[in-house]
Amino acid sequence: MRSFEYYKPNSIEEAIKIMSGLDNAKFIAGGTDVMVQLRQKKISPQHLISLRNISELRNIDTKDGLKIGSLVTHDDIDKNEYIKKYYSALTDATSRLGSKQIRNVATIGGNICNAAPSADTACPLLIFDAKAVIIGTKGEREVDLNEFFLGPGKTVLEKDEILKEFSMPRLKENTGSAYIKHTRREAMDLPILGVATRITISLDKDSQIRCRDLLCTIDSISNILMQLKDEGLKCEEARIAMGVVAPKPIRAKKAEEALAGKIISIELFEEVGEIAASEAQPRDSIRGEAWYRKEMIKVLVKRALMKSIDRIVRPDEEIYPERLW
Amino acid sequence: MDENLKIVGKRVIRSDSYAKVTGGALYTADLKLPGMLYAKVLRSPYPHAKILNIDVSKALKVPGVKAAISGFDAYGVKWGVFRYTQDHAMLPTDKVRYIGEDVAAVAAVDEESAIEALSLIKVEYEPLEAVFDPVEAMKDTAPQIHEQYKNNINIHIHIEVGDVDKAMAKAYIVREDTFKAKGEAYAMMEPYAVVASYANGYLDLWMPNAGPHVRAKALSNLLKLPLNRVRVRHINSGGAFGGRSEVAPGDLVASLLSIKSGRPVKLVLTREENAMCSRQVHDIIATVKTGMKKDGTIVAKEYKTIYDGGAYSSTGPIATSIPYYVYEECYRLPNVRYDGYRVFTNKGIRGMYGCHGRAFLAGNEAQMDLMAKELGLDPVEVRLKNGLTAGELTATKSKIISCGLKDTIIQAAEKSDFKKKWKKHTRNKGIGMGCVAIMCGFPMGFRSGSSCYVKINDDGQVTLITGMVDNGQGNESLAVQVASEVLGIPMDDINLVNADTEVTNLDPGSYSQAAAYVGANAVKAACEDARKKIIAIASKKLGVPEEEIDLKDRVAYSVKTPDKRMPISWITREAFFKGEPIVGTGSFFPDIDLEREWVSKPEGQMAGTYSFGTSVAEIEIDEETGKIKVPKFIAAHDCGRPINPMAVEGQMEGSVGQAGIATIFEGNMWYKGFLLNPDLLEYKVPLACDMPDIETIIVSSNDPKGPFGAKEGGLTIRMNAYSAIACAFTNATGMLFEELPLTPDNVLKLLEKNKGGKR
Repeated sequence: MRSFEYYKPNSIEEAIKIMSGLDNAKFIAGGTDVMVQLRQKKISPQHLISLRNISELRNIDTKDGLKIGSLVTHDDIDKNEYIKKYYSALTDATSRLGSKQIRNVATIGGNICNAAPSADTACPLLIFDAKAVIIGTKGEREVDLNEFFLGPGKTVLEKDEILKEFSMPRLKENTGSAYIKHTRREAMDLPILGVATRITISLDKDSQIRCRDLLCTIDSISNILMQLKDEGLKCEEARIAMGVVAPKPIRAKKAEEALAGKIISIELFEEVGEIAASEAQPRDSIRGEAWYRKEMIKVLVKRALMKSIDRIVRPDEEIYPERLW
Repeated sequence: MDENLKIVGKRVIRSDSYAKVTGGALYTADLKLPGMLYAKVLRSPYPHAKILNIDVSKALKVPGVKAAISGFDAYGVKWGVFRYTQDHAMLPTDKVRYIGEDVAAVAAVDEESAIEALSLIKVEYEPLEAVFDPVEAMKDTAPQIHEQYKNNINIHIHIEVGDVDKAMAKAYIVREDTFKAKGEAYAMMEPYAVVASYANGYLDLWMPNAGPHVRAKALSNLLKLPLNRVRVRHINSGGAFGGRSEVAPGDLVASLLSIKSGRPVKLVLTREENAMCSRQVHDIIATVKTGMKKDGTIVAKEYKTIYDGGAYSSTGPIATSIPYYVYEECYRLPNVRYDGYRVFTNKGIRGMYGCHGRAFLAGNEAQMDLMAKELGLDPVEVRLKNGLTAGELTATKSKIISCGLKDTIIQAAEKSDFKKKWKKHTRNKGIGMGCVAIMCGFPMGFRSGSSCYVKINDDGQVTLITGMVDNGQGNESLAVQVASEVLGIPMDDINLVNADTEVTNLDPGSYSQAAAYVGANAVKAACEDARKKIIAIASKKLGVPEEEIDLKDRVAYSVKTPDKRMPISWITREAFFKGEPIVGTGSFFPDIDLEREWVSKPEGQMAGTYSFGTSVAEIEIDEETGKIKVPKFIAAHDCGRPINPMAVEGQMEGSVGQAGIATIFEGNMWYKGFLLNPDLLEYKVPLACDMPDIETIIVSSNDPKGPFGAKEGGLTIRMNAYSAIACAFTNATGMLFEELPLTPDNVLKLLEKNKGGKR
């Protein structure tokens, strides 16, 4: 590891100013990616500019929708009850990233700016229609997260720009979400595949009552779906995002379209899973072969959708049964 | 004797624990000596290539570089564990045989300068055709990796007992299966490191090792130095698992650099180097044919096993044999034909592993279950029927001294409700059982035995001097605990000097599970010698007969009239006054057949005694993703009398992780000669959160010759945990695994195949 100059600015403006005056410089937040890349000699910057002292990047704002500062750590998100209740998929992702030690320092901004196809928080942010708020010498701009990634390790960020926060709209009623990270190990692992889904359903009054009855059951969600089949439970809106199936985290837009406006059933979810799989171009890698990843998209899209529904019909269930299907 | 034991058999805190959990324990990489240099090794980028020239001259010009060496600076000696396997130069001058092989090295005042210098070493290679698959390597057309081994067959072990063909013909059912298992990584927590310091004609070395005496001897050969000038010193070891038994190329590299520069040299391998360039675990392909009577009795076994040995012999003959032996030491095999081939390929060197051969066992055990099912028998009963008992001989005529196999099977089966669960398992759930026997020390010539010295110091404290070595399993604490029992002196009062070739005498080291049975027996003998001397003085001073005196809590006292007592420190001083300070010596040599030879005479007493064990695993298969979960694991181990039950349980629990969960997690992945997962992100060592709920059962068979009845503590689980999971998979799916590990994609493929078969 080469030696480098280290800077610790106290404001976004100062950080941008330092960056624009330097060559071969890199921002560092939690450092859980940057330090590894330094040691592996994948990068060798002469200057490291730490964002740690910039407190305005550490906010979580839940007043209208959700705003998460780029320096918010995974552990901060884990502990946030509001996010857990309404933006559950995000907590699903942050709680499974690395280990507690890593989550204590790794930031959500870092996870996204590193732009790995496997970034855990990318899929949840995609399904919540997150916008990246970026500040640079030319001022502030907003970019749809969908357009933020350009490829592995590449984003739309210019050299002198800083990712300030993610901004997500308020969710409609009767919305549930989930992220499933498919790994070999329970922790300290990168996903073979990551799938996030969000679904909004329409419930008439009668259905709402029957759904409430289901709160008391410990039935698996597949059974509940079976029971609800005759209710005409309709999907109003859906989002599906997938990680590690393309050079960047992607939305399965055809699958989303196939879901919108339809009456919900397991068969539909299976169909949607097939469509999502057809939208992916996974590669063979050491973590999983392409055929296996394609197969798993079908399974995980179905399961994530079921888990999302479960969170709507049984919102107060603290611990979701391990096997919902 | 049981009732009178004061500390043996008690759950004591290991003597090494405090330093280790507080970070106070020092390891090789922590060492700093005055003027010490840092070494880096230049490694082969080719799997197979002729070396035309190595030029280190430019590296020497880098500021701060004090020495640069290649194989041309060594003494032309090749290492081999056996006379007939001397093929490893450590720093080759003819050709490189695997990617990552040590080619040259530099020592500099800091690591950065050393790395810079490496890039200036010029090596001219002529790439040669390489071979990576052992079956391919055995063909006549394959490139020869070593001239002296035709068809790249390093070792062929042939064992023939009884009349296999006749027995097979008469068997009620015969089944043949072929299966594969990937090689694994040792993944010790501490990457390999060595410090060598050459001064005044003496070479001192520190490194994690499993046998300092064997290591010093090998280095004295390689460096052409007299043995008394090579001193391997004690240092904590961060894990070995069989992978640090032999001399390592790094030892030679650091020694040569220190001799050249006249300064101490430290070499610390990276995690990736540790995985690629130290030792790896053999991949295997095995064909197992079994003949059984209608009642489940095994009548014949026929084997063909191919071991991918990588580039050099290493412990070849042993590695080619052990998987079979641990099976025959467990079950009665009246007729056997075993053909084991260790084959060279252009991959990293494969060595002994704490659980070497467990995939071989897993195949045997899972096949046994399938045959039991076919015969309508219960696997527990089949194991009990075929399991060896004390007094019996193994197929190759090794006597079973003490045997708790039956108890481990029965207790593990009862605790897990095995019979019921096996018969009526729900869809995609399964339960499996694995059994095994482990030799406690095997023939190593005159190094098979251990010696110990003990001295009683002036305040009644004790210094214990033994060659025993601790790789993390608790051998040091074991020695101290045994001494404490014999001398009646608390563990805290006993200082241990061990694993240092200068001050200790020969010891087999901590491989072949010799430490508890052989090493601790020598400690016991030495302490008994000192105890006699203490008692003799006490008897005179107290005026009571010697037989009446016992030692306890630093005091010698009369058992009949406990008022008659005196501190051991007084007795010690009395001895000093007489000019006869109290020292004790003792040794132990196991009762083994020294004529036995792995290749030429595979017959006779293999070990002083054997330990036995049974593992039971329950698994759940997610049929959509292929992921296997292991909710419950029960391990029963016959360790003779446990010296420290807590340490034995710790070994058993660790074994469930390293061997049990490994069945679904661990495997080295290759692209031609490249190891694709040398780091701990992609090589999946199970974590605490991946562990099942574990129950451990210690079965005490009380070995007649073990120290206080003890045998090795925990290795059986490290072998049979693998079988338990493989058998549970067979129970859940009705099929034999085809390839281990049972990764999700592998499982999904198998399940698909199973469905296809039913259609």
